[in-house]
Amino acid sequence: MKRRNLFKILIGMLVIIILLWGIILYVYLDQNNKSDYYGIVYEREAPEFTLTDQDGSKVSLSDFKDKLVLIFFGYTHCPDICPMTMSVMNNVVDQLGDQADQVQVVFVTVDPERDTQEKLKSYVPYYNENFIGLTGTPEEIDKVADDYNIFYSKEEVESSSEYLMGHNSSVLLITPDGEILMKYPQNRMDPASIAGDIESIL
Amino acid sequence: MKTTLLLGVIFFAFAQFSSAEGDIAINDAWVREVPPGSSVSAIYMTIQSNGDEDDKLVSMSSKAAESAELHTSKVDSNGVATMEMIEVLDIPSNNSIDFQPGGMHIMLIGLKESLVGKDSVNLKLVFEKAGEVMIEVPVKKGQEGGHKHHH
Repeated sequence: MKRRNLFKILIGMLVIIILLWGIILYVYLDQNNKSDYYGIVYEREAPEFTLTDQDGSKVSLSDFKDKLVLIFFGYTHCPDICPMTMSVMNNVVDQLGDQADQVQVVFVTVDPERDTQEKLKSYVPYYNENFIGLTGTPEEIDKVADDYNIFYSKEEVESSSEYLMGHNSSVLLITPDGEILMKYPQNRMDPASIAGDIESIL
Repeated sequence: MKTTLLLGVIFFAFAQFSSAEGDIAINDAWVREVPPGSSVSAIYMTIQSNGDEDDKLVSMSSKAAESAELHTSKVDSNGVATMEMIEVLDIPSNNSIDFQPGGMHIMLIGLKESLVGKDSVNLKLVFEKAGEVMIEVPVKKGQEGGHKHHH
C-alpha cells in the first residue's frame, strides 16, 4: 500500500516536471520566433552566382561582400509590379541617406531573351544610377533562379505578340555575411519599414 | 412666389440627379512614366459610377499604344506575381472602383513613343451604357511609398 502511494507521488512529480519543462521550452521558442523585423525572416545561405551587368561586366554575389544586397527578380516588359518594386527600392535607398553606400540593389531578369545588356542599361539606371541589372544566357538565369527558389514562366498576351512573365516578385535581403535574412513579398513594400530593417542590421 | 422658387429648386435638384444617372466619372488617372525603350506601361485611376444602373467597361484603347487591355496583378501565397486579363469589368451603380499599382490597371502594350518627357496620353474607355469616355491621362513617375496607404 505504502509503496503504491510512493509510486503515485513519483508519477505525479514526473508529470509536473514534464509540464514545466514543456512550458519553459514553449516560452523560449516563442520568444525566439518573434521577430522585430518588417520582412519575413528566411535565414538561408545566399547561393553564389555570376552574371553579366548592364555594362557588360561579370558580376558575382561575392563582389558585394561588405554590402547588404537587395535582390529582385523581374523583367523590363513588366507593366505593373516591377516598375513599382524598382520605385520602392529607390525610395528605400533614398531614406537610408549616408548608409545607402552600404546597400546594393540588384535586379536580375527572368526574361534573358528580351532583356539584353543594352536593354538593362536603359532600364535599370533610370530608377537609380547605382542599381545593378543582371542578365545572362537562359541557362545561367535558369540556374540562378533555381538556386534562389524563384519561379518564372512565360504568359501570352491576347492582343499582342508581346508576352508577360509570371515570376516570384519578393525582394530578398542578403546580409553582408551572405545570408538571405529576409523576404519582402508584394504586401510588404513600405519603403520606410524596409529601410528600418536595414538600419537595424547595419 | 416662394412656392414657385421652392418647386424650381426641387425640380432643378431632381433634374441634376437624373442627368447623373448612368454617369461615369474617371478620377485621379495617371500613367506610369517608364524608362526609355519600354514597350509597356500601366494606367491607374478611379472609376466612379454615379448612376442608379449597373454598367460595364467593355473595351479601351489609346493612341499612345498598339493595344490596351484591362489586367489585374495577382500575387499567390508563394510570392509569384501573374497578370490576369479581365474581358469585361462590372461597374456596380453608385460605386467606385480603384485601379492601383499592384492591382487592377490598364496595360498599354506596344508604346508608340517613350513616355519620358510626355505630358499625357489619350485614353478611350467604352462602357456598355455610358458609351465612350475620352480622357487625357497625365504621365507621372511612380512615387511608391511617399503616400502609400497600409493594408
